[in-house]
Amino acid sequence: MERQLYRTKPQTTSIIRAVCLSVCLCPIYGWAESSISVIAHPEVAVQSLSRESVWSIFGMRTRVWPNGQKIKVFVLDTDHPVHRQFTTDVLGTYPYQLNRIWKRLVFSGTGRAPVTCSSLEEMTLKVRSTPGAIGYITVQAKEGEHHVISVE
Amino acid sequence: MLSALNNRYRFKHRLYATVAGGMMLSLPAQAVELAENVDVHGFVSQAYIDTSANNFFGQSEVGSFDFRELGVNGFWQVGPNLNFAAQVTSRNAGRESDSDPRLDYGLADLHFYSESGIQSGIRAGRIKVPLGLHNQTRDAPSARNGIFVPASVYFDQFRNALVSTDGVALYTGFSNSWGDINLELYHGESDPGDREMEYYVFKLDAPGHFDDASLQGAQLRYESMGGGVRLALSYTRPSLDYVPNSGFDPLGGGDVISDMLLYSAQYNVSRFSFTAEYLLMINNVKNFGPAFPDFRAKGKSYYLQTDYRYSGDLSFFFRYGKQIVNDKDPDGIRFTPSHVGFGRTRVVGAQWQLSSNWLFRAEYHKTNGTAWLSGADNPVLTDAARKWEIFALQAVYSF
Repeated sequence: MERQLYRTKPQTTSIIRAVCLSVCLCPIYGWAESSISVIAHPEVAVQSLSRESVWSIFGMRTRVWPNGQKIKVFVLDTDHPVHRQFTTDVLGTYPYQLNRIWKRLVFSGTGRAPVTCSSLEEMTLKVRSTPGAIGYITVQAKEGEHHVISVE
Repeated sequence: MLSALNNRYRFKHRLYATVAGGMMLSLPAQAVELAENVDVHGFVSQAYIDTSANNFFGQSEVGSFDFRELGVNGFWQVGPNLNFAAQVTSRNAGRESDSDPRLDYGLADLHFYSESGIQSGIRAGRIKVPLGLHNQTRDAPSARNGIFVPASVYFDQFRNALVSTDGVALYTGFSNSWGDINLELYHGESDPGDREMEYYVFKLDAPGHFDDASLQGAQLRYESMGGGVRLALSYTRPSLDYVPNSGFDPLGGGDVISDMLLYSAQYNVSRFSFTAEYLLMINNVKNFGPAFPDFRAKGKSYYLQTDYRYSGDLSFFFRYGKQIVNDKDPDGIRFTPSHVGFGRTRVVGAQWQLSSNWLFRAEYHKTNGTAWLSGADNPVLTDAARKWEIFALQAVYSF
């Protein structure tokens, strides 16, 4: 009996401790997770974009770079966790909003939808090889040479 | 009986099924990129509709598969400032929409950017009419907010005249930290369809017909960054001339001019969306001669919808919609039958996005009034039921 009580106590404590720890670390963990980088083709002359510019580009409203070159937008599948993260952390919205915007453009003749990549590898490859391309990656995938655009 | 119906269905729509089947087998999950600058998208939908009374989108009183849609579109980005876009649709939805393919839009779009970030352009050809939040995509099943667009505001009597128009649109817009503002002005001519306008105005299939509708309008849209708040103010003015039958026609060459003002608002958060649209419509009916005296009526309609996203692929909605054809006569006392003068409906629906291509929907509508009921599908409106229910299922494939 005594043993049981003794055993229970640290368990409870550890649960409480775990909950406290995760609550405390949540913002940090969230911050770490939100390390998404917006990337572009190496020859794109832009170094930084405002958040509204990124929203306008991925909403397919801004269609050309300042030098007049066409923007080619690449995204991951709607239910890809990195797409969700990009949508919430960088754009401050939800995947369903982008879907709504793209469907309206595509079925009303007023615009285009982005090109959907099936994996981060494909995204990296396409952004690197397509002139005027823009996309996003996670920090973990940020290996090799990427033209990272800072979002302000 | 059922097998006979099935056979008829199979025979009539073999081509349709072949096209649809071919598309599903051969196309990848997303758009087809024919060349670097050409995208192809499309959709196929099939609904099953069962009504307790009255025919809706086909012979639904006995349960029908009449409502189906097929569409293919292409977008060609010629250069940074010019693109072409076209969509062909086949829509089968009762007698007014047979499945004959029609050009839904076919346009050239020339656009420019100023240094200050203002984007302006001109679209010419057959263009989609920006009216409210849903008119431009009312025929694209995967872009709608249900199996049917909210009927109280997007009633089908004006569908053909408003769905797209042959003309020109000028647009301008800009983005900044507090959102996007867009303004679009348009002018065009559109085909009002065969009978629906006649039922709307005269409550019967008249001997003559309405000529092309002339359409002018504008839409002002605001969308906060991320789309949390969406507001729109739309105005459109369809005017239609009646061409009497050259043989015998008690009606003179009159005209119908409608002023439509539509207020739209939507608030979106992670799991919920709240939408409200309110339409004020003034109909001026003139010069039809002694058989049909002139009149001016103000119609009011609205709907409120709440969407709840249970998960990324499953969502539910509740909608309340109401239409009053003449605001001085909310109970339709001066109409025969009275229930064509109003409509009130409650709708619950569910939507399951199985994959990025497949979408399934189920809806139940409980309606009092027949204001938006098709006259072509219910030619004897005095026989129509005032209270009726719809149960509908829909499968949508889009890419």
